[in-house]
Amino acid sequence: MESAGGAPGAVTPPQGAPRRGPLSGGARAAAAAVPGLGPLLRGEPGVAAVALIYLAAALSTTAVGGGRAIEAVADWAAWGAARLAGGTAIPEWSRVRLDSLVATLTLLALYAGLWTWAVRDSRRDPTAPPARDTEGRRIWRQFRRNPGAVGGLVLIGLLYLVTLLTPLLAPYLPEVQMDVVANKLKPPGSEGFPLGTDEFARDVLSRLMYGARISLSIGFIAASLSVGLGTVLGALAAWFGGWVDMAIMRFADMLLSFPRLVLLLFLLAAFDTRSMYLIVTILGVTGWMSVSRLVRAQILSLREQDFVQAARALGLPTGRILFVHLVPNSLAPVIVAASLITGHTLLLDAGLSFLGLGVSPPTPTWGGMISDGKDLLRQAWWIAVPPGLTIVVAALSFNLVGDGLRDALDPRLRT
Amino acid sequence: MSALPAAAPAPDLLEVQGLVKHFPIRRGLLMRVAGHVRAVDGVSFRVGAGETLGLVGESGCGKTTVGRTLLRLIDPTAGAALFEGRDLFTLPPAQMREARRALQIIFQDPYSSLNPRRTVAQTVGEALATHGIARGSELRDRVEKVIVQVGLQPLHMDRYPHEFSGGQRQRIGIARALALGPRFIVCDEAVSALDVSIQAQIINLLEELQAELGLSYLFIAHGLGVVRHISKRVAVMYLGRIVEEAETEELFRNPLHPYTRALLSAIPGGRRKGAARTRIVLPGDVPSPIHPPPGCHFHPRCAYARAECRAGPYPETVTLRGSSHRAACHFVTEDGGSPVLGDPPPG
Amino acid sequence: MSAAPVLEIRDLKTWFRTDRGVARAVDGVSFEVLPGETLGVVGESGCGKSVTALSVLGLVPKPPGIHAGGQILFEGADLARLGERELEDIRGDRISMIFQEPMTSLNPVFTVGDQIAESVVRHRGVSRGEAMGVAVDMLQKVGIPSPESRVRDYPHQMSGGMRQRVMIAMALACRPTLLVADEPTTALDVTIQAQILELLAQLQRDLHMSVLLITHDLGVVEEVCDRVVVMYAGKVVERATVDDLFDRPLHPYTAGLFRSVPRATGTRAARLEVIPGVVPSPLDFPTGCRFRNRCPAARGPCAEGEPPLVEGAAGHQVACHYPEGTR
Repeated sequence: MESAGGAPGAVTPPQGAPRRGPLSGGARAAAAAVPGLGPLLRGEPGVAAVALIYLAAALSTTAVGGGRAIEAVADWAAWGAARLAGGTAIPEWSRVRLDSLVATLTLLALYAGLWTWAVRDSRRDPTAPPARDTEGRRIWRQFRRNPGAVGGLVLIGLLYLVTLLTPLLAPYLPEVQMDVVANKLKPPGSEGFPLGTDEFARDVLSRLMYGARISLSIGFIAASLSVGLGTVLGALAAWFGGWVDMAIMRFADMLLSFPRLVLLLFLLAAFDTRSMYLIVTILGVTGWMSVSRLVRAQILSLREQDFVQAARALGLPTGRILFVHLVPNSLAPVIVAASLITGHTLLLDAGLSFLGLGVSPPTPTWGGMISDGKDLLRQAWWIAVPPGLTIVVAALSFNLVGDGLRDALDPRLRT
Repeated sequence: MSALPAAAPAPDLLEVQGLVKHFPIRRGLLMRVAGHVRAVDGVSFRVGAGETLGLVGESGCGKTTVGRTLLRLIDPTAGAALFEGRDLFTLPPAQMREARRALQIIFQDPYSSLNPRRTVAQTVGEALATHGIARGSELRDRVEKVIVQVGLQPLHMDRYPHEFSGGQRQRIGIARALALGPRFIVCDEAVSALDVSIQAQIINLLEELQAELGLSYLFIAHGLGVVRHISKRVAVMYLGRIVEEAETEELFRNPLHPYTRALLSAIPGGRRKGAARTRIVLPGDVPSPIHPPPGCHFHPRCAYARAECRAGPYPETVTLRGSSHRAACHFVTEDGGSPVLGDPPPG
Repeated sequence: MSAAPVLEIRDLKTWFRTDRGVARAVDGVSFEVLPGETLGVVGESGCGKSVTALSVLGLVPKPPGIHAGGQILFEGADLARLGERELEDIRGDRISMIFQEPMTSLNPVFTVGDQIAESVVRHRGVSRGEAMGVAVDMLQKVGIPSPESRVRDYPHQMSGGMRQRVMIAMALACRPTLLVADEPTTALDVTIQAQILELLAQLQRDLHMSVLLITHDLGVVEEVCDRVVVMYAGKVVERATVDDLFDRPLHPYTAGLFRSVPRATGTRAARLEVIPGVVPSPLDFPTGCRFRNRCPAARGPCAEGEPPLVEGAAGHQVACHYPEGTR
């Protein structure tokens, strides 16, 4: 973190320009007390902005959901006490309670993280020579030069933070129906419903927030499954060659020759109720092919390199050569692919939900919400538009991060 | 020199007999074998304990393949390699794992020969750890000892390859090879990619290690000056075969094969612009090892070639009487002369 | 040799901006190339010899490169001040370049004839047919058998040595006055190298051109050059005729290089002499003489002033406070 690159408008200071020294005295204490103040004092507006955004997120969550957080802790304490007392009527430990507790812990962790960072950052000397230059530091330096990518990363961070904090933030539980006659199709800004209600008198904001958990989790977990599967299969195909290669890659070709949506419709139509786990599994096992091709090509060129030959000459076991020497060195394009695939999977899941083949109602998903709102777009645009926008923002963020990573990991673009 | 009785030859550590490696060329949908690259086509040599055999030749002559088959990085098509009496090519996997501790390899490219994501200590100690030879602090001590032995410092152990210069990286590669305590090391163009001043440092290091640890080297290179400096004996390869082999000074003073002569005369240096030209410039390129020329493989580029060179069998290897100097050429006789070839070029 | 130089470089500085500071790859280099001569620029990797060559042709990518000073005088113009269009007019016409890698310097999707003809059409304004005729002539000149049919070959149909001949044919098609050859034989086998060096010498005589030869191979320098510039850490440390340099090197670096090369001829040294240490990083050169950390002759004053390039003997310049033989 030598410079303030990364945020829009921030530029790496030209070489030789005088840099400000470390903070001292009162400024240092203030910087440790308020996250984001330190970078601001040192003239690094980009870093300051990111810190302040997260500080604002933490503070507003506390303002809105502080009471619920205290409740959640008290509730947990009461449950624990009852449990210890060993009475006959141990209260049931519900998912909703666990949810609230996790959200509370997340909030605490966010505060802890922010201030740990602020204290360490306040002591940093920007004029000190950078520490030993590792690969990771070089990639990070290149990545933060790309404002879009950094912005995308910040947004992704916020989205996932919201999924964890939802129980503290959301006004209602997503399935809760208000009095339909009185509260149906309320427009945004109505008393108690910041984003209005849908035709079943459910709060759109709450559904949007709980929907984020489902949609973003599906995107992330399914993409991880695809990437993991693709990496292992691609590595095996490249290393063993012959019929193993033939079998894996021809199977991949076969899957690739179906339009993915058709394949998904075909598989999903076989199930009456579709849980999140089912969707994740099916999206995961139909998305690994491009990754396996990437990894295979990487490993085929890497295996001829001398360090792999040296590992063979040392008599190291195949598994070790494959997963210690080859796979880690082939991950750069895979990481790029992973972020792009996550964005893509998110969109695909939204598409499936829109078609009514996503996670079964009444569980809220972004795609499902758009589907619910599509017929009422004229009268009640606020049902479909907010999830539409969040889908765009999330997918765009993943793509921006993917592009940024591609540039950062390309040694030719590095200076 | 000739008055002294010949020194008793060092006992052979490695004896390679009739090594052949043909790479199949596969074509078409069914990957049918359409031909073979005759990379190595019947190569025999010996390396004594504590001595260095230089293996020289131009690209595509098969010298690298020879080195890699010895370590079983490539499986040979035919032949035997007796290492301390056991044939490396037929050893069962368990014994081969054992043998690998005695045989190691150093590579040319100091950049691609180290895993960029592993520290020096991880790279050097990996084999010791995975073979269960040392662990914990003992492992660290042994790695440190080897690191110091190759002229690096203990503080380098936790650094990554990109933090080092080419010469230092080559030292790391040498340390990796030394860690298992080998007796025989294949140096595959080990100094070819280095700058002159660094090259000298690495050559000296290899010589010191040889004196200290009694190592034997198979020193594969195309740089003749380097090979002459480090080798006790030199073998010259052309299109998969050894065309000439002799004690180093004998080979450089009295090359018998026309190819060796051309090779030695092509080395730049020692002559100034405008000086009288004595260089033999060979016409044409090295032929493809897929279809080596019939008869003597060298005949299309040889100024002396006759009918018997162009057809008929590959020339027999002739060993000079009372010497270990051997060459595969129809014109070479056991007396060491050849009426056709005349005097060797000066130099 | 009183003729006006073909190329004169004065105090050239080509630097690169990097994350970790400014790399002074070429840092005040001066030399001239006389008509019809071969000037060798030698040095180890990172000494700035290739960047010097690229600077002459305006081929240094900017950014990250910066022209930090100096002049490159060629036919009355300062190449360092010319725009890209004007440089394109000169490149491939009056100054040409050949590179080390014959595999990647040719475009695999065009025939070799097309690639030679391209620059002839560009610079001579002749028709494609005429340019193909020039291409056949050139292939013949560089010793490619049956040029009429090989002109339609693609690069992959040729061996490494053949490709380097094609590169030379391309470079010389417009009869340049100056050929910049950057390690032209480094990637080639020694017997093929001998062919190419012979060919270059013969073409130089036929076409009366000057050659700026960049190489790390002292043997090649000794055989083909008239005069030599030795570079170290972005600077010229010694400049002399081949005979003077090889018979009486004055700079301790040059002398050390000669002693550390294992020779294939002459007597064999029991042990190679070594220049200790490594080449300094262009981001952080030592103060004073840049060689002093590795120099056996270094003394107090070496740390203070950068030694200027001065006449150490007649026509033999050296940048050293204590040249060989004066200690």
